[in-house]
Amino acid sequence: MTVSPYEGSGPVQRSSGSALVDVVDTILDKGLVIDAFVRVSLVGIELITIDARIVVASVDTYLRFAEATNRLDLYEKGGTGLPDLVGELTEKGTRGGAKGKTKGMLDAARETVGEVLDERKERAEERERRRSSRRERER
Amino acid sequence: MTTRPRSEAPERAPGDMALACYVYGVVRADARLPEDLTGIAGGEVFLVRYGDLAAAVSEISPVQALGTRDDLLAHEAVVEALANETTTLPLRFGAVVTTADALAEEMLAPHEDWFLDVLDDLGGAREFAVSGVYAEDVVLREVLREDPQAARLRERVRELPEDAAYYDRIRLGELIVKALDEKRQADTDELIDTLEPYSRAVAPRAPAGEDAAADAAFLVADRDLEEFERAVDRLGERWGDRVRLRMVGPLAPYDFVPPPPGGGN
Repeated sequence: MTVSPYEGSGPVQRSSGSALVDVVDTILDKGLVIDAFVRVSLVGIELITIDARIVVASVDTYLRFAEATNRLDLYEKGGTGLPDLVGELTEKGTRGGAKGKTKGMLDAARETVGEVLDERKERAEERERRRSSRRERER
Repeated sequence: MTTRPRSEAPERAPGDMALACYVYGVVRADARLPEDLTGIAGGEVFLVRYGDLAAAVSEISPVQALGTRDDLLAHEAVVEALANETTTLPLRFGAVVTTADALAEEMLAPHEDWFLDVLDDLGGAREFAVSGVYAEDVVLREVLREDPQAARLRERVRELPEDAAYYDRIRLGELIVKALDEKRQADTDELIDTLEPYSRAVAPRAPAGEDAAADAAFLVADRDLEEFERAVDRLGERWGDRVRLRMVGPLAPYDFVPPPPGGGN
């Protein structure tokens, strides 16, 4: 499932790195580690990066869909000179194809939202399970 | 060469709450910052210099937890802006020290030669991350074509009701996961073999997700960039519908900073 906010319509998708979803793991896991150089003046600051990964991934997905949908409007209104913008959507060469693709995007958006919600639900259920087994033990 | 740290921190009135110093990256002292560069929480980015080195920093509150989407975007924007100007050694997200002067004394001064060597090594090149994702239907058909046992299992699973075929379905899934692992290995090798001749260094990355086909970071000299990109395009064409290739960059050389001096952590 791909929604491409990127330029170019070749075989390879390109991103400058300013799309956070592409670089979130890089900036959290790679690069110089300050602790290796600084000990005395180090400030231990709380990092909430586990949530960040999930939030960034979903927010960026939402933004991509919003953007892709937006371009689609332009296209359907008969805008011209947008070959790059809709390159991905017109692969099949017909408007029908573009519509089919849009539907795919919406389904996938729903999936993404669904996944996040499912994950939350699972976590809540897990907590509930743990709580009830604790209660049983206490009895 | 200056021997005392020299910071350009905006002056602040005494009595202000002591702010901490967020560190983005290390560059050469003659690097120029893009104008009006703002960092995390809107802090103004400035350079703190020591000798031939400088670190890009901004002031932040020492009590605020870090990690919101805006924080990550700000970190990435500053590092990207720096890397567009000059060779930049990026810090991992979340590097905070007490003051800019302390940073110069404790980080830059004792490791000046090490930093300068690394900046030399990485000069004139930038990182590109190239990753591929399998088109599920194409690659599953490929597995069934290549593995008769999987193909037979699939036929059986199709004929039986869901409950009856439970263990067959597990077995089939297991075979496919194993086949995909092998494909991933072969495709990663192909990605690296194809692009290595146009790169100064290669760093394989852990493939993220079940549909990951290949993932690696390449350090590409600016003068080889065109050839590198052409090679990526050719690979994309060769893989066609089977693998969607994606190239992210130019990035600061996150994957190519060496282990810290002295074999520390």
